[in-house]
Amino acid sequence: MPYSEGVLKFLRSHRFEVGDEVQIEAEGMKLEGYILPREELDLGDPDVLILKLKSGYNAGIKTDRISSAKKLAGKVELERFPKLKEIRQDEHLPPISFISTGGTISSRVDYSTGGVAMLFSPEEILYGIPELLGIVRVRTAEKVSSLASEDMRPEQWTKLAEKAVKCIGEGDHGVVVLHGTDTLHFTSAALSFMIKGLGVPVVLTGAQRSPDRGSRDADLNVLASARVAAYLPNALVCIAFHSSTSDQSAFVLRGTRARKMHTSRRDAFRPVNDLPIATVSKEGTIEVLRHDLKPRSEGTPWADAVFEEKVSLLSAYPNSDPEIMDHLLDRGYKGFIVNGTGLGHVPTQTVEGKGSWLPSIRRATQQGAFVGVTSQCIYGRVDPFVYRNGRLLSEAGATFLSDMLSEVAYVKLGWLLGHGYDLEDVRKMMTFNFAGEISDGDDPSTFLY
Amino acid sequence: MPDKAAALTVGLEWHQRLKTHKLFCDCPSDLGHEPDHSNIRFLRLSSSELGETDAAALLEAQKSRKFEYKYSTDNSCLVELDEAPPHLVNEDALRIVLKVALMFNMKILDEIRVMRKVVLDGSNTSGFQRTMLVAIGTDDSKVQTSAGDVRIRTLCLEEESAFIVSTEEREAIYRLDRLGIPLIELATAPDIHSADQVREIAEEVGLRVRLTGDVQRGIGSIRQDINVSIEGGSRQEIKGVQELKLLGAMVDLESKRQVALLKIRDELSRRKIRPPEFKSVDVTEFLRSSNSSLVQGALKKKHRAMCLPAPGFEGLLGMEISPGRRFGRELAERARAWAGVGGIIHTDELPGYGISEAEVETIRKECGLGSTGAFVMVLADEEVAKRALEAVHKRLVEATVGVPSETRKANEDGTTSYLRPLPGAARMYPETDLPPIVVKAKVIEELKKSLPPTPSQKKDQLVGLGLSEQIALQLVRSPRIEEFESAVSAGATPTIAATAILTIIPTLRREGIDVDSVEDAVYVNGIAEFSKADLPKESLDPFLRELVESGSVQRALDTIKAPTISESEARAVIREIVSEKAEFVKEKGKESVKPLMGLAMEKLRGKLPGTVIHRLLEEEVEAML
Repeated sequence: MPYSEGVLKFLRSHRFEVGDEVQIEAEGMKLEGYILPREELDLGDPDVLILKLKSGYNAGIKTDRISSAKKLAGKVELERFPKLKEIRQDEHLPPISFISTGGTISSRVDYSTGGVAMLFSPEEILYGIPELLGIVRVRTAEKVSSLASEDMRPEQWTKLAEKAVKCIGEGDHGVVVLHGTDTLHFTSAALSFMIKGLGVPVVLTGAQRSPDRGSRDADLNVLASARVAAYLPNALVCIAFHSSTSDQSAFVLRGTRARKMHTSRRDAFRPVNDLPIATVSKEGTIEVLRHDLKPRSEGTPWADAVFEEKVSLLSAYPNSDPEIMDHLLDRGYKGFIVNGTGLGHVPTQTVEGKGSWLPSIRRATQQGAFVGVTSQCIYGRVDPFVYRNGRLLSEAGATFLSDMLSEVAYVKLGWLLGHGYDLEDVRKMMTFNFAGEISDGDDPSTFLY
Repeated sequence: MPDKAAALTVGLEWHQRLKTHKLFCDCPSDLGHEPDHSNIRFLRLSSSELGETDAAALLEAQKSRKFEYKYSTDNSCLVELDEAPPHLVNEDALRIVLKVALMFNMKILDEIRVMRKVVLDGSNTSGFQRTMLVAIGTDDSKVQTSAGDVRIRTLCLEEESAFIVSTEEREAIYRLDRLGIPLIELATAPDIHSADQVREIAEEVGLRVRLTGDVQRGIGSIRQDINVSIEGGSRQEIKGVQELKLLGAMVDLESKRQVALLKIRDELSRRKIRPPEFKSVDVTEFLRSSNSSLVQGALKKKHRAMCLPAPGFEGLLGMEISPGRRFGRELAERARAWAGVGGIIHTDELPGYGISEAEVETIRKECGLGSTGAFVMVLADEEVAKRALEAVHKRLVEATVGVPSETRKANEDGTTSYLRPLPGAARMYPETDLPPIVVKAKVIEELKKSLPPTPSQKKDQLVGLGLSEQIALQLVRSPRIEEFESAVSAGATPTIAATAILTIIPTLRREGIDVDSVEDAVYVNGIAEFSKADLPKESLDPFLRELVESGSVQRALDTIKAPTISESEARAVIREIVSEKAEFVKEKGKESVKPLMGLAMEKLRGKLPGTVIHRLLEEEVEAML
């Protein structure tokens, strides 16, 4: 909470303002420092005045303990980012562009308050990661939003697809998208479906550590992404991220086959039902691990950027209430992905039919809505034939979505429905492989990779 | 004495590890586990760290060092690895430091804010150390010494750094077991004015903190930094003094060093020597046929011999400024720190290293020096050598001004060596992953009721247990007071516990008996059991010897209580063993006693004291020889 009326009154009566240098005596303590603001969401005590002491420490003191206070000459120096000298780039290096949507990776800390400020210009990127100068030419760098990734919406995906297509049309050898990590894999899936005729890599990356610290992971991720954008011999939407908790190499993962699998580790993004398509070492060597990828090509891509927002991702679990589906259906929803249990199940033959999803699913498909089934196991493939419940679910009109990730299936469904296809076509296309999201293989080594 | 010759000012920073789990995670604060995992990291500079600069400088700056972090999952987790946000601050640790603050009459902040202090030497995986200011001293927060009061200024709670295993120019290896152990930091005002006083204040602070019963003991658990300056000299920050007894010597030697450096300045001024110009002269070709193996070794590696003329410094480079450390050493340490070279060669040690008088003459001529002119030479890659000479040059310029302010490392012999320049105000900013800690008045009131006793209160308590004033005082000052108290609360008679801990165990240690092989808890239990068994006081010594020997309280008690065999019966048993092994005994002589002791103990353990068995065995072996 911000300062209480009591603290504000104290400040007013002494003619102090936030940022002023002051000298305070309280119960024999002598303190000198700058008055800091108290942020809206601060969890401390609003009756406590916060000072930044000369030693660098922040210290909170209740104003009713203060016996004397006077203003000194200074004023807090708010963080001034160093002036950037003009940086000359090598015209012979392959041009790439950076597009930022926000998130940890494109923020920077104001050291005086600890607040986070957004940044973005080619100079700022190059200034922070000067090694880029020897690898690529940063042709443009643009901020399309300043959003934490959980705040992203489908319109940001479509805007991003259009922006990437534009950059490639202007001659970029590849595009790097800087993104918050929480939903980065939703966006990579969306771009995988929405960019058509892609002849170069579009690489998404982010950061799990804040950029103020020496240990930040962003630099390795950005360097790897720039190398992939400029030099990967293949064309696809992919994610480049730390391969382990060491700062030694990055994995390149297919945009439809990756998932954030840890809340905080720097190697949070893992391939699911798939292996990495390449690695990029810290030193810069790209090793392509697959031969089934589309090679780079000339030509201008286009954006098939549509999305039906009336789609939903539901979860089935003991006591899950299928009424949520009925409710959404009544509100005009056109499609559902049900994140089912095991091989793709929902509560079906329950005691006295209590909580069975079958009636709701039957009703939805009969009304022309699509119901697809994926698995909350994350790894593996769904299968309607092994158990009776799977057959019943299939019979009720649900479509089993093979080894597709739930998040990817959700994005794909919104994209297909955005085109206005009818249910039969959507069913066919949901099980058709557009961008590597479905495979026939069951490579045992992909589990927990 | 330099103390009197120049006014001395010292401030002490006391660090001690707390006896609780780590500060920002639940890992135990113990160092016992060998690391079996490792991680490679590179720390990056942030652009605001670098200031306004150009691309080339940026690139150079980012050629950061490689750090390997070794760890065991027994005492390190994702938090130490910088792979998960910190947990909320360890409340035990907070309670301990709040108690210490109250004990020193300090005032506690209403809101404690955890800060990140930027550290880029790799000793923290994150690139910063988490630290928080907890309390501030007033004029009443003081510790008395015989030379006057010393005020305590601040109390901080911070996380311990990772332990450095090895370091090279661009690589370092650390262990994570130590990282994150809570540390209390108490800083005094610069109220200390002599080596004796610094010793006294350190002992007093240590004693008071120890009486909380909540701090770790033993090697490495305490570390002090001192700030030392003399009148006309400058402030030096000496880091990492681990041994209390070195503190006084360190202060003495540092003030002597500053006096010596001021003498050098005065002599330079008397000689009318102005700060020397920087010039590096390549003299490699004049040393091609040198007989010096040092030079030939360098030439083989394609190194160059580069010289910095230092006219006017002759005689001063070899001047002793601390025991065994000449001024030239200060130059060498700068060269090492800034360019990574092994050392330097200077004219006050030439001819030497196999370099002849004639070669020195030639070099002087090449450097444009007169027949006595001083120079400093470095053997290294041309670029490295130049960087080294630049660092040396900077130090020579400083010598004409006086004593440069430096951060210096405490050496084991009480001297110090150059570490880095004195840092400006540390770059600190809020730890945004943690909420501020609001200290409730109620908590403070509760803690006030359970403050640890002052040393004199403690002494009175002990006297109340029936100990003499003298023994009580001795115990209060002993780091072993905890074992004493544990033993007494386990049922030991106080006088017996005090005799065991203060007299007998130290005597056994002096005799070379491995008293540390027995855990503290075993002594505590043993002393208590001995008391309960109501044995004569005289048996305490043999009992403890037996305890060390057997490691078992019961066996030691059995042995002491009732020798079930007479000495002559025992002698017969031993004689039999010795005659059975006659050949061995004749071959090994007295050496055979040790291996035979095992056999003797097998037969006689518990029947009479091990010391007696040993004596009998020695006598029997001698009789046979």
